[in-house]
Amino acid sequence: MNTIKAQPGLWSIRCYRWLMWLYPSSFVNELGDSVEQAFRDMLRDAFQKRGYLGIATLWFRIIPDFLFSAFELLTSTTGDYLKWYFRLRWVLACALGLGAGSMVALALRTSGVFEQWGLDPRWALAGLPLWLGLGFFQSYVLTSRFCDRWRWVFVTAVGGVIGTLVSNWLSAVLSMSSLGPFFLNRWQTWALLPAMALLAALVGTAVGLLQWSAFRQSDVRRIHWVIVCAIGAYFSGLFSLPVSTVVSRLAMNIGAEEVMLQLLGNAVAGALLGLATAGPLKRVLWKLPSSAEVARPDA
Amino acid sequence: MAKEFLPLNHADLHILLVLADGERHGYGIMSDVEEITGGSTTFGPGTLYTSIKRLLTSRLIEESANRPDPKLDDERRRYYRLSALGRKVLAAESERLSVLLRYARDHRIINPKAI
Repeated sequence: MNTIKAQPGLWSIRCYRWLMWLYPSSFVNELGDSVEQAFRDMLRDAFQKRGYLGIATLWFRIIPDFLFSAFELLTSTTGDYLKWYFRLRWVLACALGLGAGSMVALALRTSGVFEQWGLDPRWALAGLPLWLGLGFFQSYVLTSRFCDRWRWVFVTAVGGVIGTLVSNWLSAVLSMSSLGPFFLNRWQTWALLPAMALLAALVGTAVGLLQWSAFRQSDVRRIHWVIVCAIGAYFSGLFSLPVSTVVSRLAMNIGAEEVMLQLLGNAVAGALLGLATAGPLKRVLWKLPSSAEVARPDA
Repeated sequence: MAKEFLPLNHADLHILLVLADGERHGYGIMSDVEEITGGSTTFGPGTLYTSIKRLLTSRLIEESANRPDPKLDDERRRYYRLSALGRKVLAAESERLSVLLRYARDHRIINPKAI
């Protein structure tokens, strides 16, 4: 670059570099040099055409361009920049999925549909709306870029029901259901939580095994996704009972109805599941090398 | 497959159109977009590289291995070209737009002789 021509815009270049700090660091690391180079080219042409007035008017173009592009980079899920935004959406989707699903399940249970079909309302099929809800909202976040959306909903529901059936059976065999509700002030229930959470992990494993088949990226390894789901469900199982008990108590103090308590409890479990799986999920989805890396000549 | 990417957004379409003519570096794309649209469309570096990053991720464009002669140009410049998928997507988008254009012409929204 011709230093004589670049000199008049030196402060502009410095200002632009400062602005670029606001872009996501991964974007700056990958394309920052090119962005700056394009700005330098624009600056050079603007100065050659209209001198300092050209530089001043250039900034009228650059500032809106910067603001819009920064906003897009910080809110887009098509790029791999906004990891926290993806995580937030994932956590909300899990919370909303289980929360909304529990409302449907509750409505079905109270309407007596399960009894009409000769099914025990506590049994696995009663959980079907939960898994459908979870699958639906998760697929909404993953978008068709990462998964076959309807397949995702279907396999989540199937995996959830199978996992619940098996864990219910195990729970019955091990007489875990006789322990009764969770009490914050009873150490026995705290001591048994890690074991009870294993049942949740079992459900997570079943869901993960089937969900893997709905990923679009063939290089998402099944074992990775199953581990993510199992650990996520374990984490959710471990903490959702105490957390939702505390939340329910708080809600009861302000006179919340049972419906609200049900919603809160399941939403907390979903949020915990989302919290535990969002990070690993992000790594699983974005571990592919970028196209730029693939195409880089010196690679 | 190509239809999954439609409709293309404003910036992506312009970039693909310019790259259909051959490899370009970032500033070359900006200049050509301005030229082919008669100055009605201009991008800044932020918009341009946000779109380039998106198109690279979607594999609609790819970075070229070619580098300019250091005597003629800055050898750090990155050049981009249309991928085979990008060409298909561009063709599909052009078809889609041509249907809209035909409708606009048939309904005299634009002058039938204008294009």
